[in-house]
Amino acid sequence: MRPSRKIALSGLLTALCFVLSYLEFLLPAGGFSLPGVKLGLANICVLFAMYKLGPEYAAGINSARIALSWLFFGSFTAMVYSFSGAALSFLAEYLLIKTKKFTPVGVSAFGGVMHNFGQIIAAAAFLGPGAFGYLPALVVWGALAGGLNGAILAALMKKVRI
Amino acid sequence: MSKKLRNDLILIALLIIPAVLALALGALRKPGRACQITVGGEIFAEADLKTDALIDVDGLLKVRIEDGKARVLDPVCKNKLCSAHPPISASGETIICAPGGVVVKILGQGPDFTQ
Repeated sequence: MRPSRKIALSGLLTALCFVLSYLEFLLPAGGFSLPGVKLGLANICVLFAMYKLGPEYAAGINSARIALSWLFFGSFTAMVYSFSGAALSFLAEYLLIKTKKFTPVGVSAFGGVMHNFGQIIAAAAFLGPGAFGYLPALVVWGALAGGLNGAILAALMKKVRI
Repeated sequence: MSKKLRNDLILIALLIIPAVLALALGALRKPGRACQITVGGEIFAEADLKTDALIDVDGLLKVRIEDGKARVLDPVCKNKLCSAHPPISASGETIICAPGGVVVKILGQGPDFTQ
């Protein structure tokens, strides 16, 4: 793929990421009223980019997504949590893809859990070790939501040709 | 089932099983003794769970202690997640108000999984 095409596609995926983040922001938290619990739909775009465009493009999209979410509907602390989670999950997903031993479902589930770890580590820096009490619940949710995102991604990668 | 998909399932099981075990252990926790409130990592107050009380935490929120349980009331932040949290009473349980940096934690004799 030509670099110009990759860059254009990155812009498109960033916009899609932003829309998905906004969609999640609008969704009511409902019974899952734990801080840090969300579906993480935007990660579908980031992983799509990682598979199809390469990690450097995915990293760019991910950073742009975090910056945009912060500017539009987050607080500074939420941004720090989000960044810490995103960095850890990005690294984990990249390494897992490199092993070539997992489908997007496993990659995304692991990424989801690592996102929660990153968030909790950042939260613990602000709030003290009490934050780790939330870890088990977040991990269960992260693995399930991540796996679901991975299944969506796997279906998309079969259908979407770029 | 393909080998990759099998790997996926093993990975997900390895992630979820310890977390579910931790949650199950958490459900068996012993009742707490006191309630500790920290603001930005510094201890703000410690109160006995046996005595009913209403503690104002720096105007950020209020902690109500009633029937051996603690809960958060009137947080000034907008998401109100901490006041939606059910009352806590077992050792090691916490309620966190992330925007205000407030942690309400139950202290007790039982094992503490949060340290």
